[in-house]
Amino acid sequence: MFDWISNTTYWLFFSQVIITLIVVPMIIRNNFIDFARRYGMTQYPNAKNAIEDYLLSNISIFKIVAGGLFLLSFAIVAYAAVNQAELFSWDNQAGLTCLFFIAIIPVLVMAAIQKRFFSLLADYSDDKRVATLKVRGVRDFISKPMILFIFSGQFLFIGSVVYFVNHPFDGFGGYLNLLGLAFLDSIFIITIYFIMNNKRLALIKDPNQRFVGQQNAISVNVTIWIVALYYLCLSLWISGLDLLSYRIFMQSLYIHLMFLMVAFASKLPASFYQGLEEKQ
Amino acid sequence: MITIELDSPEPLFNQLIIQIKKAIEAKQLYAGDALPSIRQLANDLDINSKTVAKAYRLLERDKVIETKGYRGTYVHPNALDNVQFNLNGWLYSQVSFAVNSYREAGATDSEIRIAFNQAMTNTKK
Repeated sequence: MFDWISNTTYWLFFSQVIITLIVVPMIIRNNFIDFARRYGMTQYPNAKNAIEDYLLSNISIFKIVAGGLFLLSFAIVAYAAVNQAELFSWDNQAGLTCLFFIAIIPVLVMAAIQKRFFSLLADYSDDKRVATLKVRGVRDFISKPMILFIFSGQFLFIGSVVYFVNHPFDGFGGYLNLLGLAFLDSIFIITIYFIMNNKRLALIKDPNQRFVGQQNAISVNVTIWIVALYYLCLSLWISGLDLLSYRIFMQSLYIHLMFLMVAFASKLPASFYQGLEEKQ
Repeated sequence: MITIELDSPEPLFNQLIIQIKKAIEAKQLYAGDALPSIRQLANDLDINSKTVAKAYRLLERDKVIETKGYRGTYVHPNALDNVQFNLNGWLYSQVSFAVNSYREAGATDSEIRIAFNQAMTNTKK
C-alpha cells in the first residue's frame, strides 16, 4: 500500500532543502547586493570600486558554500527517499535538526560577509558622526500586539507544561521544559539587546535610516520568537495527543517558515532608501 | 540631531556639550524633555560611553540637564537661562583679573605660578 505519510514527508524534506538552501540564500544574497549598491555606493561614493571588488569575491564564496550544502542535503534526502529509510538512516526528527544546522551555515556566512562589509565602509567613512537626541526605548521597537503575543505565548507554554505534568506522556521532560523556555527567551532578549546597542550601525549615517534598520531587524526577531513559542506549545500538544506523524510535518513547516522570515527580513523597507538617491 | 567630528581638535565631550546647548538654544529641546541614555548616544556616535558620561556630568554641573536616577536624564527646568552661562569664560576673566592685580603688586610670573600650584595643592576638594 502507498505510504501517504512517508512519501509526503520526503516531499516536505525536499521542499525544505530547496527553500532553505536555494531560495533563501538567493533572496539574502540579492538583498545584500541591493543594500551594498544602493546604500554603500551612494553614501560612500569613494568606496565604489572597493565595494564592487568585495561583492565579486565574497558573493562567489557564498554561492559555493550554499550550492555545496544544497547538493549535500539533497543527496541525504534523496538517499533516504530511494531507500524508504529515515534521514541519515537514523531518525527523521534528529535528521531534520541536522538539516536545519546545515541550512543555517549560509545565513551565518552572509552575516560574516555583512560584518566585514561594514568594516570596509568604516575604512572609507569620514570623521563625522550623527545621532538623534530622541529617546529610544524597547517600546519604540516592539509594538504592543507583539508584546501581548509574547506574553500570551509564555503563559500558554507554561500552562501546557503544567497540564502535561499532571497528564504526562512518554518522553515528556516535565518542568525541565521551562528551562528550555528560559533559554529560548534569553537568546531572543540578548539578540534584541545587541541589535539595539550595535555600534557598527553608526556607519549608517542618517539616524532615521539607522532606526528603520534596527526596527526591521528587531521586528523579525520578535516574530521568530513568537512563532517559536507557539510552535513549542503546538509540538507539546502534538506529542501529548500522540499525533507523532504530524510532529515531523510541523517541525519541517516551522523550519520553512523561519528561514523564509529571515530571508524576507533581510530586505530593508523602502523607507530606508527613501531620499537616498536624491541626497546623492 | 547632533553631529560630532572625530578628527576635530575640540575634545569630543566638549563637542557634545556645545551641541546639546545649541539644541536647547535653538528650542529643539525644551525644559523637561528626556535625553537619550549615555549608552544610546555612545552607540549612535560610536564613541566611548565615558566620553558621553563626562559631557552629561559637566552639563549637570552647569544645571543644563538633570539626572533623575533610573528614570533617565532630562533637560533642566532653567536650562535655557543656564546655557548662556559660560563657566570657562567666567573662570578665565576671574583668573585674569587676579593675575593682573598680583602683577601690579610686583609679583613675578614664576611666583604667581608657584603660588597658584601651592594653592591648588593645599585646597584639594
